[in-house]
Amino acid sequence: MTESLAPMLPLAAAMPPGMLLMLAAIPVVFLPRTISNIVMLLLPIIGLAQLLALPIGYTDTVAIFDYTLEVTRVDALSRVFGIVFHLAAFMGILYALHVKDRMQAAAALIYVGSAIAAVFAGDLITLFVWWELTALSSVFLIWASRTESALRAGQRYLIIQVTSGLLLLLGAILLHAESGSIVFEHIGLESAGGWFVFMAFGIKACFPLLHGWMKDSYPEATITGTVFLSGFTTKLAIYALARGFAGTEILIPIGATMTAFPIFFAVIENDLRRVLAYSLNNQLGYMVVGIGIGTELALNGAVAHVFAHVIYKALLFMSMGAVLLRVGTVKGSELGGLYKSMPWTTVFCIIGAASISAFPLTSGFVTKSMILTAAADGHYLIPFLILLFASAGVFHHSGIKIPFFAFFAHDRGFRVKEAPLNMLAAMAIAAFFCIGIGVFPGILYKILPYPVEYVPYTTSHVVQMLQLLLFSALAFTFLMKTKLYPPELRSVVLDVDWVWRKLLPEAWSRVAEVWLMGQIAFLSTANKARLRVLDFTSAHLSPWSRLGEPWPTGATAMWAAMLLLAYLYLAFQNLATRPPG
Amino acid sequence: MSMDPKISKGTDAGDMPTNDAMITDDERWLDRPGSVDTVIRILVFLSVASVLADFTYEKHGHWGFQDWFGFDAAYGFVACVALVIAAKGLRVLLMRGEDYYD
Repeated sequence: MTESLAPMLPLAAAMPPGMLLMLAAIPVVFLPRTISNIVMLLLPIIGLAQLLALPIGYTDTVAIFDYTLEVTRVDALSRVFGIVFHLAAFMGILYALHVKDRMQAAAALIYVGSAIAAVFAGDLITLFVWWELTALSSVFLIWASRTESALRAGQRYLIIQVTSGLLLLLGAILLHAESGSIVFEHIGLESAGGWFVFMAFGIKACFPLLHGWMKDSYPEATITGTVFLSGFTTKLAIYALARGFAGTEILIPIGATMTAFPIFFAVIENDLRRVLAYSLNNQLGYMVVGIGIGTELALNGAVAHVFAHVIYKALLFMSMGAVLLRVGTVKGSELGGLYKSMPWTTVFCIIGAASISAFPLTSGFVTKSMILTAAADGHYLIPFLILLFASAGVFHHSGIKIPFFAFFAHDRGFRVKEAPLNMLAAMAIAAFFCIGIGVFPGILYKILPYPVEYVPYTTSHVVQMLQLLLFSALAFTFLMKTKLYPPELRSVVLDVDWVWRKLLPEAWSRVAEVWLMGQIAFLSTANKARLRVLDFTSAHLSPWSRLGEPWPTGATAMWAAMLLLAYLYLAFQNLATRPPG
Repeated sequence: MSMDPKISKGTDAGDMPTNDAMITDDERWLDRPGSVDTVIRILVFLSVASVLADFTYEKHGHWGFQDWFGFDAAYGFVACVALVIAAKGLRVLLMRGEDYYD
């Protein structure tokens, strides 16, 4: 494929991958809609062709002041991410084709373009620039909802994303001070700079306790915006971790925690797009574990899982987006029975649900099992058991809960139209890839960073996975039948974002309150003191006080005479005591 | 359980755009009595079959417990029940009314 595109190299080398999409954001706003739709659909295709025309090992540098920035670096790792980002961009654009808001289209193009460019950044400064641009552009996909809560969620999102970028910049400066280099290769945690970069990546990769921004903001974005958001930011962070921190062992417990704890929240969360955000967090955990293990199989597994995940996660968000568009809500407590009026969306959603659950013959199976096998090969017993637990759990909340409560459960009587054609087409493409990768894993394995010897379809892999999943389904049935399963309730579930949405504002208002009370107390004490002084002076110095009374003339004359007498006496005494002469 | 009074169950049938006539007009196979039981029976059959499949091959797990008969089946079932019950408990602690942040 690369050879046949070689004549295109000079053309492809004109700008970094992703740049074309960013530049196109401007004309897209002004072109007539039909033309701009065609242009937008062509952009990811041209972008992908450009990427495939660049050979592995291709680099391009730009000199700024005394520094040389490596704006493009194509290698096996960045190329897989580039390919799946272009795919996701195409599906997202197709899915959003009916949206009239041109600002959303422009924001999406800049966001996608900068995420792609970031993956091909060869140094930390170039990475920083694109890293921040993904944050600045993507927030418009949240604000485009034009609701009060989306506005505030977007502000919180922006603060956290920009903070991640600043940590990256600080880390890059420290690393440069230590080694004199800003090349983005393996970083590790041996230096302070490395830790800053690690935290920057960790925020975007939704490490435990740093994850709150994602479940807070993604469900607030527009229907189409969430589909874009689900694809790029977190996976860019996974890419960055894979390049900078492969084999960093602390990532194993971090990742294992990420796979497990979000699923508890997902079980009780009512907003189904938020449930998907939690399962997105859970899926990132598998990738982080794979990166932490750091063997060729584990890294291949992590990268392959990114590829599969971007597609099935987009598919799930697209199906819930279609429900939101048609019904006006994605709350589990309000939905049910939609399979009757949205049969195609139901089928696509089930394919996405099967893929995220890693059913054999779907994409999740051929990628997630690589990470599980790598964990077993490395004798990581506890992480392995947690990953297995999370595999059952993700089927439970994403595989069953999402399709069950949206499309089946109780028929709520919604008789709505099926999703628009462009949405169905985008979902069909995603579903096609979910099954295609599951049935022909060799196609994906061929583009992974390391050669693949792993065989997904062995009897033991298939039987073990089927047992795990079928008995999870059985557990769900048992819990529903015995009414032990918690009903979907209109509610919010507190998470770490509670700290900055409730605790800190309340603490701040408490501080402000104490400050105000202090001021009042001070002022009232001061006022009392002032009144006391006033009382005293008015008691003693007023015209009616003893001092203020008019004194009789006689008394005054007498006091004056006394004063003169005293004066005379002193004067005479002075004369008498003076020595003669 | 000490639940927030603002947490309410899903919309009652009363205020939904539903009426029985609409549903019967649009009856599907799944709506018929017994259909769900058929689905469950198929699921149970498949589950049993997946466990019996353990007889068809020799297990070579990395750890001894992986070779136990039906290990993944038992693990999946127990994991899910534990997950749901723990999550239910978490509700007492973490669930608030929908307008909590407003």
